[in-house]
Amino acid sequence: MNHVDRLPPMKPHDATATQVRPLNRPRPVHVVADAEGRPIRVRNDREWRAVTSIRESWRIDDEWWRLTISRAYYAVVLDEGRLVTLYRDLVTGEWFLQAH
Amino acid sequence: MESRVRSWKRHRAGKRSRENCMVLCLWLPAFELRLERIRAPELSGSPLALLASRGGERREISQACERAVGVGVRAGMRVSQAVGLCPSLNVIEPDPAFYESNQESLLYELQTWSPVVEPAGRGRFFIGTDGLERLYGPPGDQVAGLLRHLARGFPSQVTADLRVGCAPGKFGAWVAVNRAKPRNPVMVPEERLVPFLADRPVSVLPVNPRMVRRLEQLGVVRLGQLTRLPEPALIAQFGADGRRALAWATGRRIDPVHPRRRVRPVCVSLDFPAPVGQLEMLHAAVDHLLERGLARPARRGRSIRGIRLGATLEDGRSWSVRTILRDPTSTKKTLGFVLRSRIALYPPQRAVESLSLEFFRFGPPSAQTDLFEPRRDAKRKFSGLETAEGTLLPPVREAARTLRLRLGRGVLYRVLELQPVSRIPERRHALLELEAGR
Repeated sequence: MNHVDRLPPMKPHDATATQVRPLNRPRPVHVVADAEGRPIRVRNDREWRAVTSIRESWRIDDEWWRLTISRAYYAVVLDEGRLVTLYRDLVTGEWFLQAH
Repeated sequence: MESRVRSWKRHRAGKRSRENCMVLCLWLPAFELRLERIRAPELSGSPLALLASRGGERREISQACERAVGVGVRAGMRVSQAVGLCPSLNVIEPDPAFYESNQESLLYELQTWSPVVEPAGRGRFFIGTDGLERLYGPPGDQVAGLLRHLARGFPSQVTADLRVGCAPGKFGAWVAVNRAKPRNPVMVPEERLVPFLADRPVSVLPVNPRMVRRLEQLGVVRLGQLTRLPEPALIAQFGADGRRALAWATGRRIDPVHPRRRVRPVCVSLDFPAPVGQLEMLHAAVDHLLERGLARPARRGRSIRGIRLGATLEDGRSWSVRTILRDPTSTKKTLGFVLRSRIALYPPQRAVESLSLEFFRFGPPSAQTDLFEPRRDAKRKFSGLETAEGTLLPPVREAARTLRLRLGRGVLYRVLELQPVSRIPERRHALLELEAGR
């Protein structure tokens, strides 16, 4: 490894970098979906809950020029009466829980 | 008494002029392009050109390799023009932070060899060699030793093309290094300086290019011809440049090396959770960094004269703008305006991953700013946990400090608005640690 390779990209020697922590990050969640890809059961904490109704659904497609973001959101009501927002990552197929 | 003071001043002046008289100039032409080739070896063999940092809509070439120069590509040429002349030309975005860090590494290595080192642009250094004979021997041995010293720390692509010139004064050394070839240094002893300079073209003079052009039009193409002109005529024609040019050409003016004394800068930085491309977001981040930078204890009591804003871009390269203020200030509003103008003129070419702010030159303390500093103002307005100027209230500051001391990490945060209208929920807001020092 030569000297130039070893050089750091540039960090001021006394810089105190502040990490900005994102809020409302998506949390992975287990979901059982029907044939059309809509959620029918959601694992909430330790138990499975049935989805009684889907209040709203929408889709986000963004940043195709960078790392594609493609999500199908569902605002659902669980059998316990809670309203939660889920989304399926259409790139990886994973489900996440996220307030919208 | 007065005559004694005068004689002391003469003695000091004489002494100063003899200090660091012999100068060694080290020059690595096309420094930035060379570094790019080392970083990306796959580019070797293909024609290469570097874009100017200060771009705007119409980007220009700032540096071109020998192969590109061979087909007519020149610095200052438009990119379209350059690509038209050389279709296989690889045009590279500049990475100022990368070049700067390498320049600093070279400077550091040179400073371990001699304490008197003055950087003069990227890839060019003046080194005072007076007094080094006892350490490294005669000038020839000094140069060989210096090259060996650099070869131990830097790749051969860097050291192989180093040019070295040694002469009395910075001007002489610069002229000498211009004649030097790689591995073939040009050494000019004091007694040979004037004849050596006489043969050199007037274009080596560090004066206004219009003066050089005019001299050439008048048939004065060599420094030797310039020395035959009367000084009053030169001053009448070219002013101070004329006087300086004559002093350099006749060897009367010997500029010593001024070693760089670096003031410890005040730096603050901010990492974004996702790359940011919107100017509004960058402006908000700049405001935030200014607040933090101005509140740093190391800055207090000094106004800001030099300020640099740098960023790491999403493709891993860097971007930076710097400015020297005519009137030093410590007002956030003024500094913010200056930085916004710079960003508008030279916007980053890619989304920004992290932003850093550096106060690198300082002015005298500003009495007015201190008088009206918000924390001393009795009528300050409170909004939540902060004053109107973004400074934490003392009880909150104290609580943040106590918690940090007790838990070893910060646990209090403020909500920062990032992209409030983003379609992606996690991009809208973020948490930023409350700083106990503010």
